[in-house]
Amino acid sequence: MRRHPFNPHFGRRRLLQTLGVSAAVSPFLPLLRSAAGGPETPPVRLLLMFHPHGTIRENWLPTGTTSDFTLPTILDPLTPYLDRLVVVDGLDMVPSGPPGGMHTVGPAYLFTGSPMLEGDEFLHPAVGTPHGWGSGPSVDQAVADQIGTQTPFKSLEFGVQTSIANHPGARISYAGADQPLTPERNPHAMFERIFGDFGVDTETAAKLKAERLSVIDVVKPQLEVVQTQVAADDRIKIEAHLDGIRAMEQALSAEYVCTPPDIGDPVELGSFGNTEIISHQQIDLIVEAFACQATNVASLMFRVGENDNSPYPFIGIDDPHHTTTHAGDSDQAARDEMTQIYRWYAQQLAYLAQGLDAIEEPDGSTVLDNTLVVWGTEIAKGNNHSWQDMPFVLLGGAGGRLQTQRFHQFDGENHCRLLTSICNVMGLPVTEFGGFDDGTGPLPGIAV
Amino acid sequence: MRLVLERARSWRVASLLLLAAGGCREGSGQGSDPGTTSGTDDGGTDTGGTASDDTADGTDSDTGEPMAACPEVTVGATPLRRLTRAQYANAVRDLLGVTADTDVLGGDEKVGPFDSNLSAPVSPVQLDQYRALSEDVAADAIGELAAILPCPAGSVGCTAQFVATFGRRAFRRPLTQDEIDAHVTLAEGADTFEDGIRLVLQAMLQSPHFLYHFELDLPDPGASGVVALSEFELASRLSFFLWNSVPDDALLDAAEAGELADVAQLRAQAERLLDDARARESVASFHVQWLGLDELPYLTKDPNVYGAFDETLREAMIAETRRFSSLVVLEGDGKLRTLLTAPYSYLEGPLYELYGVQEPAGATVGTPVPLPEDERAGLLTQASFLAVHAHSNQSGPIDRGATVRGAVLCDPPPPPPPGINVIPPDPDPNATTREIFEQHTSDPTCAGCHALIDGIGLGMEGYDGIGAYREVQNGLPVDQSGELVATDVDGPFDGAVELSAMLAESEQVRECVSRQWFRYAFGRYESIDDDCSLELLSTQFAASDGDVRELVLNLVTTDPFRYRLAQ
Repeated sequence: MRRHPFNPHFGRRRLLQTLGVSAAVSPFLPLLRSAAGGPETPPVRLLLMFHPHGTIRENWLPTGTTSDFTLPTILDPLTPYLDRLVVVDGLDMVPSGPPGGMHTVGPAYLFTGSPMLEGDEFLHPAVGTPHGWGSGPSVDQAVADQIGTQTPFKSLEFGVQTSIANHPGARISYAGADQPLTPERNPHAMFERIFGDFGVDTETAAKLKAERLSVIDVVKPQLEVVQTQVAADDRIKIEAHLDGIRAMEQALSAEYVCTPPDIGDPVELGSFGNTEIISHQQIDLIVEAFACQATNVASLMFRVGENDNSPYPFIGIDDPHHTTTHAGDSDQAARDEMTQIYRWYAQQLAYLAQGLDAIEEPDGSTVLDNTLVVWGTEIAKGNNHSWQDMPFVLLGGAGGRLQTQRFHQFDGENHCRLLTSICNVMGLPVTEFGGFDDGTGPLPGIAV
Repeated sequence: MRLVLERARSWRVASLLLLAAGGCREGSGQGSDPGTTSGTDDGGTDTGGTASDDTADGTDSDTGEPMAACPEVTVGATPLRRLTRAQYANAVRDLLGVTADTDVLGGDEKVGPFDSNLSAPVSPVQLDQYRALSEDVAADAIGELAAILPCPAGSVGCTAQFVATFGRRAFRRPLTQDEIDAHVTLAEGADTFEDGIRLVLQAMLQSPHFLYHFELDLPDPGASGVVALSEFELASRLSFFLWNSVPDDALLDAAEAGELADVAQLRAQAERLLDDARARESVASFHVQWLGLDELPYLTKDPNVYGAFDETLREAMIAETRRFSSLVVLEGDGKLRTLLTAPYSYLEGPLYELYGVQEPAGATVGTPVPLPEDERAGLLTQASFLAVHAHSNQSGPIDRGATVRGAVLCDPPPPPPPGINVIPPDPDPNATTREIFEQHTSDPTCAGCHALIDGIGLGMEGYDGIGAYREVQNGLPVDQSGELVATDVDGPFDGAVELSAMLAESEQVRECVSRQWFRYAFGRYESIDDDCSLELLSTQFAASDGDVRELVLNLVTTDPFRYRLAQ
């Protein structure tokens, strides 16, 4: 179990003081929404959401038919959004016998559908052979490559009490092989990243942007030179760095107008009592980032896949989660506790849906109508680490490209088929996705 | 190089599978180290353990003469690494006298137990973190502008002078004229002189030349082979190894004067760095990371079982090991034997009570305090080690045993087969921890490997989950008997003090410690091309009777330290 020191980093405070403006970035100036100048057809946004350690299937599985079904305890908070909901049961994640622990590699497999690289970087103390990072892009990044180039941020990676560990168990998004994307676990750092300049007066904001661009003008050519000098094996590191600098330049150069949400004061990021506060802060940022199209692609990782033993004291659960997941099937108290935990995650998704549904697009639809949220976890079941019957939930109208209000019960289909379908919904005409794909194409009944 | 590494990797995977299929090895030094990439292409043994004749008696097995150098220069590849958070913070401290809040940066990767950002490329989020941190540091630094300037603020040419002098230290080499010009142009675009300096600092702290350990100066010789590091690159390696920070001006001057190519002068510089207080931090960090003690800040204990474990005790535990290891190595006799057997330590606050020792009158934190000789002996009996390698509500015999086996003997046990329940048994108020763990691992499929682990770990049962000594647990006598098997010092022992004494005389442990220092120095695993140098290092370490200070000095003159693989 990890305890993280409190870090009340509130970014640029000192810099803003230096620039002669107040560090207090609130109250925010009410700025115009993007609605006025928005496009006729709103873009479709994609969010991947992750929580650790599977589910309790009997309390997760809907009852009823494909189009007429009722949500049980865990998913019940999503009932208000039944008309834009898809529950996908019966998918299996990749063959058994992978290197590494299933909690470790599961987060990489989940959205990349690809195996781990060979390597000696990660050796699970208890199980499996050593391995490197994931070997493929995650579905959000494949989508972002196509639709992310027109937004200030190609994609944004959010974390809620994701550990600081630089480890596959703590990453779900990959730009490509060997390129895990670190989530930002500090909502206020993310706030500054997306909206930082909106809290200050226009003159200061313009000055900050100009300064940052001038710094990039010095740093970028250095990277372009060393890119040609480093060993072939190291080139990917400089290329990724350069891509990141170009992305920063793109974000700084972009003209976009957002209404930064009031996410309140920073709280201690490592305190388990604060999880819901941090969750709501990050979700508020996602909602606005989607609304004003700062980005159209994001991921939201809750805690970590690697044996997350954090308790959930804010819902009255003080037991370490991972240990609880190893209780036997007959341990009703443990099952009740886990049901509560996974229901809480459904509530977070409902909170997100509520936020997205409250924002009207120029054409009269809501942002939720034009968003696809994909919710998954790194294993299906905690006490046997099963990858059978992985629990997936899709939420949102996806711009009419998703067949909604559906409860699919598949029969051991490869989960890469779902990743393929997600690409199709997002407008990518692919027929397969990920290194584990078996070539059987997208799942029936998902994309319109 | 990629090919070699991959061969080594698949060899290692194969060896692991072999171990899993064939159970645990019985003989000494027959196995190979699953934590390394070393090994030969044909699947032979590496130099781990006592397998090597050369390391066993400190002579070359062919001639019987002590080896003085490797016959030819071969070195493993050191991939491009990004600064660790500690290196970033130390560099900013040494460059600007400012504290960088590196908690805002993402965590570091590890190579084995050692911090090293070697594999994953930097993410966009991390670049933004670097940007934000550089802005904070730069804004802080110009608060004391005169302190960082080599010339009166605003005087003619002062910006260029600052760029050249500061840049030389931040980039660890002189800047090219183009680089100086680019930064001066940046500064001149600002409204004020002060803002210009601030932007230069932001740019340099975000520069790849600051954030990475580049080793590109000298051209490759063409054909595959090795190339000597430039003097400045050598200076950087030296200071990041011994200070975990940037070189000072004296070291850069020595590099500029061409002095570091001379091995004697290189060694003299290393001695100078070791005499500086900054070396304490690097030596302490080696021991903390080597034994996994960097988990201590995140450790939680069940307050119902270990009510004494609070922030003060936690900090005293870390401080003890940091102080003990650095003082023994840098100001004491420097011997590995002392690190593993010293019946004294440097205590503060609640550690006196935990160890049951009276605080000597007038003692300061730098005063060695004698400890009960039948209870405490060096690093493995310190509370930091015993608390980290324990569960939140009980001791951790398996964790302790596996850590000693892996970190100290360089013989990490293979992982349990898939499907095995690795959840520790719950404490039982009517039994000792030893009793419930013995039952837990008595299954025949587990017992083979656990003999390698539990013989060590159960012998450390004289300490509870926060390192307090005990002879009675739950009203029952504590059995501290243990046994070392499959090592070069096999035999039974009674308690961790005896265990430590045996390990202190082990050639396998000495070889392992020199291997671990090698990994720490380079932030990477060794490869087969480092084997000769490692063997030499180990031989010299044995010849010095296990003098760690000598080991460190010898390490900086090895071929892998002074050369790199040509691209």
